[in-house]
Amino acid sequence: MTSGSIPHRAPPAMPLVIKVPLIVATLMIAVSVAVTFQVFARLVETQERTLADLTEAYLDGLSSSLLPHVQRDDNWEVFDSLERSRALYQGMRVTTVIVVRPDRTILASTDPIRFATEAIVPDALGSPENAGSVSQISLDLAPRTWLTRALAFQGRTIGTIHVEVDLTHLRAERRKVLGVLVATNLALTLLFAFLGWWLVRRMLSPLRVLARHMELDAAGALVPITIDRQDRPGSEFDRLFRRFNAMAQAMEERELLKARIAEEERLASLGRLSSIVAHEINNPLGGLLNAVDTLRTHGHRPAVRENAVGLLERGLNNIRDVVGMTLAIYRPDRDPRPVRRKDIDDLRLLVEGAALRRHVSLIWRNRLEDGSGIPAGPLRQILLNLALNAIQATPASGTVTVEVAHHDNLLRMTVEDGGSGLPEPVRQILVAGRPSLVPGVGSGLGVWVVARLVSDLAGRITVPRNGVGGTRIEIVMADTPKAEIKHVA
Amino acid sequence: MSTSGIGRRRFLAQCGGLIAGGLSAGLARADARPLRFGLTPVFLNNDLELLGRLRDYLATACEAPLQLVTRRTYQEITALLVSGQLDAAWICGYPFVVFRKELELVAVPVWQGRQEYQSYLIGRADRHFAAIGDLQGDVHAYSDPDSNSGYLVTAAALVEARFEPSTFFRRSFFTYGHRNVIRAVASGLAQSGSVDGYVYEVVARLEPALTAGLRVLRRSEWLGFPPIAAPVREPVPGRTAMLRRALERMDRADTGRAVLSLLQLDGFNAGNPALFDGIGRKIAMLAKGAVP
Repeated sequence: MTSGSIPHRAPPAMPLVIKVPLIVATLMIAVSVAVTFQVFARLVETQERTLADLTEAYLDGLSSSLLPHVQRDDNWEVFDSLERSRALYQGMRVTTVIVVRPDRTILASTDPIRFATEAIVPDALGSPENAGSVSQISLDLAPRTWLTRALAFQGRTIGTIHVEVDLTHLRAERRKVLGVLVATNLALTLLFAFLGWWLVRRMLSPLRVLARHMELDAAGALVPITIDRQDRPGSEFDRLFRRFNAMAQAMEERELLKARIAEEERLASLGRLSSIVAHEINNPLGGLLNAVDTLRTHGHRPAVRENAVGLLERGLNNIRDVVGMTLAIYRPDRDPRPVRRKDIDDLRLLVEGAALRRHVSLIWRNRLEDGSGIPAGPLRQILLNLALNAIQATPASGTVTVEVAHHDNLLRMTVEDGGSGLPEPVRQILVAGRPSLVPGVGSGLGVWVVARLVSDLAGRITVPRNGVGGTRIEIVMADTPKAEIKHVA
Repeated sequence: MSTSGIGRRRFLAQCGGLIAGGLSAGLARADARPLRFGLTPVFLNNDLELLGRLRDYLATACEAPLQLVTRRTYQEITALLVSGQLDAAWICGYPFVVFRKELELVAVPVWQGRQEYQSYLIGRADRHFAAIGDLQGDVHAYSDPDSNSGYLVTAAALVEARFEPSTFFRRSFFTYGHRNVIRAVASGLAQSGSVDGYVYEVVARLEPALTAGLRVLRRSEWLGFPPIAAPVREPVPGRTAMLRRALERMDRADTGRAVLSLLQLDGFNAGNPALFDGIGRKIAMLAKGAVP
């Protein structure tokens, strides 16, 4: 059994009710980003193609209408044509058009204040060599972009048209479409995430019920699930709930059984102790009765009377100590006060009697210092059980050593016997930490109780294997137990 | 209208037709030719409403189908008129004086109570102007080479001020319309322009935005208003008199008054050729100045 080891607690896993919608939302975001990118790319492509086509058509129309006027160097007609074409091509958002002669002087423009007739056109607007750049138009250009088209007649360039196109509205439209796309996809993502959360929550609700019932109640028991009549009978969860309820019932029965066995063991221990106590009381009783007879017969003699009364007092004191010790160990509410050195010494009284009867030598080393934080009751029961077991296991004229030491905030108890060695199943009960399975009666039940008590006190038991016989049981526990004593079997 | 009225009218028309047909078949053929009336861009000839109303009025008043003939330049209209291809035309005083022997004065418009107008030199409102010499080096907009107010007056003024008109401006061009001169100067295409004062005033009233940034730099003396002229040798006899009567009575009919209102004119009167003596003097001055 290794259930006593404390497992490393991993951080709590994210509930499925959140995990699945998160995955759905992540997938939706990925899909929407891809879709948005595609739609947006197509929009930009369409916008740019339409703009290029429109610009091309505009420049074609403008070129054909301007050509004769440019040939005649008629700046008024060029201006008038530009004005009229501006009214015709309002969809183009042309802000400025300049018609330039081959010598780079301006023939006419739609904005003669900025680009006056006869002035030299700014170099930044490009030259006829750059003509045809309409195909390179892009919305990523500046909001206002200059395009250039050469005016050719019979294979000779007779002028250049420079057109300033305002792309602001297209860029604004692009931004608007992007905003709508992002908002729509975000809304859809949130909607699907919510739907995912709702569906998964609905689908996993039986599992949540199961998880809630898997947690032990205050009494350490599983609470059975009330099976709703509306649940589909025969469904997976219906079968799961029924199996869980059967398991909870079995666990409850096992816990009851363990409690009953522990109680029986306690009673058995009590019986053994009772016989010890009876023996301890019975031994001096003969002497005490003799002293009473002596008093009755020779009580008038002061020396005899004094001697008899002294004998009576010692015998009664001895009986009082034995009875007091027994009460201290088996008091029903256990003794919650911290253990003191005297508690261990008192225990010796009980153990010594048993050792004497078995003709076993007892070596008792009590080095406990007062001020320990360990409760007295469980500690004394542990030591008493182990010591009595050791005496029981040791043949006559053998030796049992009991040692209690206190060192570096650790309490160390050692019980060593001269027996034939601890059977392996019993040894396993001791070293396995807190045992859950109850051994059969007579096959280590006392040891099982010791193991549970040590586990309650957060102690550790070691039993080295010894090939030559004899058993050495060592118990080490922190002076301030980490866990409170919840339940002592 | 009653059916008996229609019957009677049809009967009278048929009788009249028989009588007229019997009397003068040749004259009827000549009368059937539409009255061809030429228009130069001397006024706002781009107003379709005006053209429609003028056609309606003259056709009714002259009792003849009317054909309005428009051309881009004064020269084209003058040539058609002098060659007898037009019955009459509204031309400028300049070609009227030049072709004085071939042309007969039909009527002269009355504008603001007089049959005279001025030529304006216009420029942007913020430009400095003290004398015509300040315009030297401008890009200048003329209206038409055969226009009195749109060319002759400025050219004569330059000659008078001892400038050579062909080189005085850095560049000059013709817009073939007084309103276009205003547009050219207003847009900045030209720094100054020569324009008909009447047209400028009408545009300033009807389209104040167009003239908002402009000002009149110089006004000429009063000269004869662009007249309606007819060939001395009438293509169809009697039409000149008929047309003169129709023009003089324009303010008596609703359609005529609508035309006058659109033109911002008071009416038409038979004018005196002496009105155009001032233009004649400018032509002479220009001819004299142009001689090297």
